[in-house]
Amino acid sequence: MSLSARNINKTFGRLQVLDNLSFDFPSGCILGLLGNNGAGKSTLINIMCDLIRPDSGEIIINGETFENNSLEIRSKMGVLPETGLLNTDLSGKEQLEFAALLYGIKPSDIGEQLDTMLNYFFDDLSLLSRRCGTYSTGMRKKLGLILAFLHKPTVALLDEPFSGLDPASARLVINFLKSYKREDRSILISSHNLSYVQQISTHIAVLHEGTFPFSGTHDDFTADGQNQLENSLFELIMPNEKDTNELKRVLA
Amino acid sequence: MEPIVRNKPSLAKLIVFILRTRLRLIVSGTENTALNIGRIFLVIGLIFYAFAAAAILLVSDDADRSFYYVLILSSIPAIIISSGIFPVLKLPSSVVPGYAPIPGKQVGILNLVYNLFRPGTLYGLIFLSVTSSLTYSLGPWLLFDGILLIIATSALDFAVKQTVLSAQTRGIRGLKLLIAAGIVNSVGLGTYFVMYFFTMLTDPYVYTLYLLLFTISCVIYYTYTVELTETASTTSIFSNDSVGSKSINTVSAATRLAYSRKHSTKPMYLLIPAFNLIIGLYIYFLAEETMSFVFSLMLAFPLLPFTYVHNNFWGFFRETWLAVRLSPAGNKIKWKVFLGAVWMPLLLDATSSFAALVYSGQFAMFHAWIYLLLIPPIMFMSYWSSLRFPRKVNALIAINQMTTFRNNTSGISSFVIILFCYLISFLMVLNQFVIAFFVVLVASLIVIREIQQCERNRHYKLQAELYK
Repeated sequence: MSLSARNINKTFGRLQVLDNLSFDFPSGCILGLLGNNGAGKSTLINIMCDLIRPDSGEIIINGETFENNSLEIRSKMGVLPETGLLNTDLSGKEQLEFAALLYGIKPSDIGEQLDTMLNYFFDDLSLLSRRCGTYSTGMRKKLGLILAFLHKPTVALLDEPFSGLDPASARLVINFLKSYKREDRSILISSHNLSYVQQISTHIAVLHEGTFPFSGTHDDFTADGQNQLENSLFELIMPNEKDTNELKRVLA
Repeated sequence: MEPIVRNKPSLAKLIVFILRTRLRLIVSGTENTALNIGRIFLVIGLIFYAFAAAAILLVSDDADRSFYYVLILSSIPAIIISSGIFPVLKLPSSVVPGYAPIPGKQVGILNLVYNLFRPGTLYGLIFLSVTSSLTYSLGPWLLFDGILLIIATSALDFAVKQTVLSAQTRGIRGLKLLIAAGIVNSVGLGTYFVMYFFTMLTDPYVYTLYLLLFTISCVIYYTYTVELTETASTTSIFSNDSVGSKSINTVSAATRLAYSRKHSTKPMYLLIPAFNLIIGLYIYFLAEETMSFVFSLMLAFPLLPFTYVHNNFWGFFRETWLAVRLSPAGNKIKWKVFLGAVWMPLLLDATSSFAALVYSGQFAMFHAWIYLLLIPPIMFMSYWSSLRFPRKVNALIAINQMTTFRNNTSGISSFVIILFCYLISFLMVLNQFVIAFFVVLVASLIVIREIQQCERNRHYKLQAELYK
């Protein structure tokens, strides 16, 4: 599914978070959304999954907009929000059952897929009988990922999928996303971890001051060669290194 | 991977799922086995209590039956409200993620079901269903009136918490007055309905009709507060004052839509509490038998210990005990923590028994001495428990829960609460209902202000620790 936006504007009070933002990303891409804290990445993801509406403009997913067919688009969308992942009163198993009900899926239809995913992410499945409120951050994140991909979405929006994960778990997530990638599926990842984004993204979009100073393929962004993602990003969002002499003086 | 067959999500299945998981929460809601066993005992105790209530209704003569009926009904709001506020304050939450492919109206229904069927409400329903099923011809009336009361109480409980305790409501003009009006209105209308209920045997429809209006009033009030606070929360997400603000995921779809379209129905909603306030005043001028309401609460108070249990009271004590043992600093303040948790039930019991003794004409000088002796230790306990805990202890979860409660009940506010409770009881005994009404209004404003101040302090402390 292709992801597009036309002239998205969003303000919160006097703060213009997204400024006439437009983009087109092809089907089958894994898009790494980069930017500073507060750049508007989460806002953009919230708009893309219809959690909040833009002041103007529209999101187009495979030719359809939320105004026309909101429920249909949502049913094909998997979302990993940054916060409010799980209901702390439910157990992991109940959470999965609830997600299946929300997407109108019979548990028998996804039995094998679910078992495979659970065994892939978790060593001890008995933990899933406990309330989600008792889970570690990493476990919540991994369960959240399974919930996001339970219904085999054609568009996945993942807000900070690597935060709180240990390196081994992050590796699991990267390999999972690589396995999930297909021509008719698009994945958007918002992350601050450039190393992980570099490993999986096919496209990059840098959000800065409400606009995309860069959006295109990963190769175009890192034209200088391998492992240049960080340098390319800093050229855009922080071209001049801040002087630390004054800092050194006051901290001495 | 093969494509998955997706059907239209079934609202009925989702409701059944929510009810099932909420029911499970009653008896196995924690990882703490002792607490789960305690909860099972609680349900058993509640069923016994329901049997006793039904027996009283069946064996009492016609003249007394309506009175006992009122007592039994009055215990239901007590179960729900007390289980909802003590000791951990919880706001209503959204069970359906905003991005799920569920139409907005169905999301609203599911969230309502989820929030209505909290364990406290379920206890009320268990009690109501057992009692009504055992009381033959009176049963359907009891069930219907009880359900109306449950809805009204839950709506009011949520509305008050939503507005008073949510950090996003700070600075909204007129809010405190609205909340106070809502609280007073509920007390006033509740009193009025109880008074009307004494005509039940001759004209039961009148009571039920008024109860229905009361319920609708509470639900509208709740709807208003939800819109007000959620809109405020949406606007504050990126403001400078956003620490502690509600996650966007918890904002309902309808509100998001309303906000995004810059559509506001505030002026219309503002009329509702104002209208209710006028009705409440009118009712108080008419009331003549309000004392019956005070007396009817007597049956409700024995249930309070049960409701504490559901809200982790046992678990709270146990977990707090374990938590304080973990650190030497915690060990030093363990009595402070436990006594801090005890003063509120003491206050409730003292106030209710005082009102009942006075009303029944049994109040004597001996009792006055008891109350005079009781107030200083309660005051001391509330003040002592409101003192600052060491930071190391603050970090522990159990103590943090207690800290939230403690912050909402400082020594000064507890003193004011005690004074107002006694004053209201006296005024009602003297049939000074109009004055009592204004006292409740003023007390509500003071308590709300105190709570908001505490919330603000907590907010600033949190900010200070975050940026330390």
